[in-house]
Amino acid sequence: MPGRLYTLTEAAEAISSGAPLLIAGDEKLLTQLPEGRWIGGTIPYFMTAEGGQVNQDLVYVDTLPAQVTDVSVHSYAATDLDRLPKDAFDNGFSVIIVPANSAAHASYAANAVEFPGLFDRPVVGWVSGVHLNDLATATAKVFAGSGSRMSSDDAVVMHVELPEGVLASAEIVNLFRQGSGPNLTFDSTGFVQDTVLVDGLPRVFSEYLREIGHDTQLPLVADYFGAMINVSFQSVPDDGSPVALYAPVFSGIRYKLAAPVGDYVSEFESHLPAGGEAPMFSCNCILNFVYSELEGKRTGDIVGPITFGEIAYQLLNQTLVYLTIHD
Amino acid sequence: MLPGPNDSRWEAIVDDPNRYSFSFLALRILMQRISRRSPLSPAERTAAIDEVYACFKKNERLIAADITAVFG
Repeated sequence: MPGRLYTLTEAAEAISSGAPLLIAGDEKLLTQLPEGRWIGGTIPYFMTAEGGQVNQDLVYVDTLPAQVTDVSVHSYAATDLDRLPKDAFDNGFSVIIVPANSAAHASYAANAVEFPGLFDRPVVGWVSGVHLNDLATATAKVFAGSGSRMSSDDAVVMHVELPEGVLASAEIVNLFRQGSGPNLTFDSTGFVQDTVLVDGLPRVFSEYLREIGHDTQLPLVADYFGAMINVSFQSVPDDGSPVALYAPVFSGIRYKLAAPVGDYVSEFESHLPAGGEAPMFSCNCILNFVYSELEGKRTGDIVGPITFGEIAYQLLNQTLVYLTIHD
Repeated sequence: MLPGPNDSRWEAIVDDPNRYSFSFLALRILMQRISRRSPLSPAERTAAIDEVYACFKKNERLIAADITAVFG
């Protein structure tokens, strides 16, 4: 069943029914929810069946499907995140929510692909955030099975068990492709970079981007054996200070600046998988929502939270992530 | 049919991943991580072979296309 927006009362009733739930919404709502089998994160942006919405009065609820045989809810400090695959069920998947700008966010972004066993089963999720008008005053939160178990530091994970013969798969939809410009590489892994190697030649990153007149709505894109993986620009200072990114770039990976995308909605619909099972979970990026003006617009049948970062095994930017269950 | 863990073709994948193409997302991300670390130390190489085998084995039902592409 696709997720939808619930009133606080409806969400509390769903929790009380014992159903395992993934919940996204404003902090003042999530803190009022009772104890149960749920995890949540703060965000007031959603893609719904009626189109993109900003809503601080309702919460978005994904109900896990009937095939699910068990769930367990864990909180992980940044230093404990490598335990995530060990705690997962042998057959199933894991959903992770990390608070934006937290230690867990930074650690997962830089280190997740090194976690032993990470690729044995799907890991999907998102980075919780705040209303864009409140960036200077509010902090992103996650919730581990109760409105009173809230954190702005740790990640929360729901490990989900599926019966034998039922499988889950994680996929992405990314409209961006590498442009035709030079290879861009970096000597260190990180969210902040002062120097970029342009076809091997060092340049001040911010100066280079200004010199070529780059539209910073277009991310860096790396080609992971055919999967296009974005790193989005957070800020490009005018004074030569380091460029801030919404995900780390990795040393040893070749990036290119993305080619322009035409109309987001029509491009998006053309990239959605045709037929097959409907996604059980999906999330899309706040930058896609803002840059492509998705408020009031539908993106196919895809619904879910609009987030400050997406996770399909590793942290992604400007990407739609979805998880599908296969009987 | 997936080759056993001691089949030499697992070593070939880890030693020269760019010879192959993959369609399964987890495999693409894993192979990118292995590729950017090359050349691997002997211990890293052994661990990578185990990890690639485990990824194929755990996801065997979902990656028939990759199994055919890599192993024929």
